[in-house]
Amino acid sequence: MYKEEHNIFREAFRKFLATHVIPHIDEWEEKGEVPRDAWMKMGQAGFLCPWLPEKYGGSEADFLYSVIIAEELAKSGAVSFMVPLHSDIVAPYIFRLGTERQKVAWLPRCARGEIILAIAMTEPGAGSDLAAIRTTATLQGNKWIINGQKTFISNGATADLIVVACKTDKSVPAHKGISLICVESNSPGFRRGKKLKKMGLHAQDTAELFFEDCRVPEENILGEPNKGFYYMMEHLQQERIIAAVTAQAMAERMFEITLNYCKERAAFGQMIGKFQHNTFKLVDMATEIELGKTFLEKLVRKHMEGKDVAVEASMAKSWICEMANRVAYRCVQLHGGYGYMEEYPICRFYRDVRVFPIFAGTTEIMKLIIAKHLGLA
Amino acid sequence: MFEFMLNENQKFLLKEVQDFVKWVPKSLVLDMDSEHVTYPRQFVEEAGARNLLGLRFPKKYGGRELKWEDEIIAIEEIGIFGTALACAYVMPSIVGEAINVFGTEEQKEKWLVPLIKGEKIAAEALTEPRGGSDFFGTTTSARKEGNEYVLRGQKRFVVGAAEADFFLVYARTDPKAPPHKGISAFIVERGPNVEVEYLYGLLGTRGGGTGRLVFKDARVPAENLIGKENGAAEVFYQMMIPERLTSAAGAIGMGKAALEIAAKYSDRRKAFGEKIRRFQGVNFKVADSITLLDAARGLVYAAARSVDSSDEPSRSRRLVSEAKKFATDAAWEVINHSMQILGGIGYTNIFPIERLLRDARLIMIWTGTNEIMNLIIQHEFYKEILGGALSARDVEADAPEADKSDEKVYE
Ligand SMILES: Cc1cc2nc3c(=O)[nH]c(=O)nc-3n(C[C@H](O)[C@H](O)[C@H](O)COP(=O)(O)OP(=O)(O)OC[C@H]3O[C@@H](n4cnc5c(N)ncnc54)[C@H](O)[C@@H]3O)c2cc1C
Ligand SMILES: Cc1cc2nc3c(=O)[nH]c(=O)nc-3n(C[C@H](O)[C@H](O)[C@H](O)COP(=O)(O)OP(=O)(O)OC[C@H]3O[C@@H](n4cnc5c(N)ncnc54)[C@H](O)[C@@H]3O)c2cc1C
Repeated sequence: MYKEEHNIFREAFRKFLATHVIPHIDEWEEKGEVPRDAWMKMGQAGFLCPWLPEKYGGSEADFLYSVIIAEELAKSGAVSFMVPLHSDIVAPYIFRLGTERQKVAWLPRCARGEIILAIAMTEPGAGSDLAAIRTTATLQGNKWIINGQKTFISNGATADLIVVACKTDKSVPAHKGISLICVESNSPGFRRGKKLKKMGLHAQDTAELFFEDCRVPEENILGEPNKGFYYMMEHLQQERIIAAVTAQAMAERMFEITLNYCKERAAFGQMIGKFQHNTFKLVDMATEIELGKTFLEKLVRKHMEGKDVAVEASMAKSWICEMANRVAYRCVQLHGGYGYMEEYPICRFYRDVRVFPIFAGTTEIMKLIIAKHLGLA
Repeated sequence: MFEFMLNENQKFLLKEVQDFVKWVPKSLVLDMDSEHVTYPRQFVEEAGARNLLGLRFPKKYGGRELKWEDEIIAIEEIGIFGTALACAYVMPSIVGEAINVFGTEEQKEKWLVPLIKGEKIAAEALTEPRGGSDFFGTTTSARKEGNEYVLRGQKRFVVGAAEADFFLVYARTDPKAPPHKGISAFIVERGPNVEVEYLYGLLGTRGGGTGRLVFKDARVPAENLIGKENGAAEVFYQMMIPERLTSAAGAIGMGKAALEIAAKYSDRRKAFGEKIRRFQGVNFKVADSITLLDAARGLVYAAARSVDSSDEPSRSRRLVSEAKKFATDAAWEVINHSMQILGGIGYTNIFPIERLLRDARLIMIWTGTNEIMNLIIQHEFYKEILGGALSARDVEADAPEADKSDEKVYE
């Protein structure tokens, strides 16, 4: 699947990470966010939204470049630098649904890192059940007046432009009355709440957002009114693939670190990887990782061919994210007491990876999607 | 604990412990996790003042002469706070065991009494940077010089070290002897040549005073030797009981706390127009979780009874190891399920589940990893079964062709 140019790109991106990202991760983790400067650097180097057409500031790169970026960020322990969310989850909404004016106004700045993107679907009262959102938007003159609250919004404290899922028609069944509206962070009535303190992803600013008679221009709607729920369902496919790609890359990295550790660490005069229990544990992990990789490659290829992969994407999201957690658990165990120390990279991986079976649709919700396909739900 | 199994005294003890648990200020729990407090001395003092420390030890040293069967009731209750407070609570029971079983009268007066009162803090130092699982590989050395031992070496990951007034330390006294015949146990007081450094940056169990120790020719009076010189193997084997039974009982409390939160949450939280507890994806996790906890408690109780009744040491060892392994695995799984049941909010500090999950990752590692538990369990079980502990009936014979001995080829 990967060609020479992809490999060259991967190498270049690794070098970029080694100079501009990896040395700063600890500091970002401490601060609870990634500074804008890092986004700008990514933009300047062409690592944001590379898939966009040139006229919007991209380089028309295929999806594999996005995969490479997501993988390398994850492998370098920078999973909290949520570039894939910006580039491959939110920007596509604007590109696919936006008017020419919206695209020209926003996309080149997204590619340069001047605009950081977020998507706000989840609310305190509605996560899995997106149709139950309560945030409303009503048209008054040529403005949308938005009222409501969102929570758990990744990039929430830093985002400049947020795609917000709002109820725009209460007279129809819930999923037929939702629209997606772009809110710029300087809109009157928009306020950020507190950054949430979390078990992991410390450098990723997950925040609450408040809309109190928040006013945005009528033309900030994305696509057609009341079709938001369907748009989300379409776009969630790529979101889930990205989540699976990231979790897979984390699993690969955790395994690599641990295999090395098991070859160096000795107990009872023997390398710990050689006790059969540990050997088999490592073998099981290698096998599960290989299965994930193979499945994911096929899925990515089909996705790039434009096929409907909703079911496989849900399978990949649930199985790989759970698998990555099994890997994390075992890797910590193989590290013994050292795995419990933040000083050892496996420790942060363990904290960070726990959210993968929760966000972007929980494992249970993925199973419901698959069940529907099997005629069971 | 299973209330129906408790006698009146145990019920009273449970109530006492619950009162103490209610006393513990929330700020202490939080300040420890954020490491504004690096050791809960006040908590230990209060437990001592309430006569809740070292419950098993003789009354004349300040204990209550209770049994393991009783003590696990208290530990499970205190386990709900997570590993750091639970560990501070059980440490007198752990280090006290060595002093109570192997110590001289003077040692008991000097060390055990203030420990049970909560006036002195102790810690146990086995693990070294080189390794924890392979205890007998200890390289910390103690050289005898006149009436003193001179200790040199390092210990790692010692809970309570940051605040401890004294340490139970294992060190090699005979470099030439086989590993398990050349180690001795000492009480080492905090002092000039004992460097202690608090370890920041643990995944969990924060504020429990975990630290590293460096002995730079630390001088220890000969009278601080616990048990016989070169006789620490015996001490070590004895200590495995309190270390592992306390880990096991505390684990149940942690699991219980998380499950309680998740069950309550799932009865209120709605998705798709239903309380999420209506979905089997949620309520079967709850069913699995409570089953695990109850099974763990049963096993911990059996292990406690085995020790209390002076059962065969090897069976006690097996049961205690099984209890440690099963209860810690179970607790982690229960807490992990609980986080999943809460969804996104479970990953944040709005609920204590994320702290409990960070804490719980330790328990499969400390006091002997669960792999080391398996080493012991299989060893003891083989000894038992091959030693003739078979069923009353020849179960192997219940097959149609069981008598075809030619078919039973082993080599
Ligand atoms: C770090 C982080 C970042 C996030 N980033 C974003 C973001 O950028 N934008 C955004 O919009 N959201 C974001 N989220 C929110 C995330 O997508 C939601 O948390 C997730 O979808 C689950 O929703 P919930 O938390 O409301 O859980 P709930 O929906 O309340 O679910 C609770 C539990 O019930 C289960 N459940 C629900 N329905 C069923 C059913 N029918 N059958 C069986 N089980 C069921 C769930 O699987 C879960 O275990 C983020 C969350 C986190 C933690
Ligand atoms: C927060 C914390 C608090 C602690 N508190 C104390 C304390 O108060 N006092 C104290 O002395 N120690 C303490 N410990 C240390 C703890 O007991 C050790 O970490 C543990 O015994 C494992 O030792 P290790 O870390 O050296 O791992 P290693 O011994 O290096 O083991 C690494 C891995 O190899 C596996 N392994 C080793 N041997 C075998 C084998 N034969 N077969 C199969 N697998 C094997 C282990 O199970 C583990 O998965 C604490 C540790 C932590 C993290």
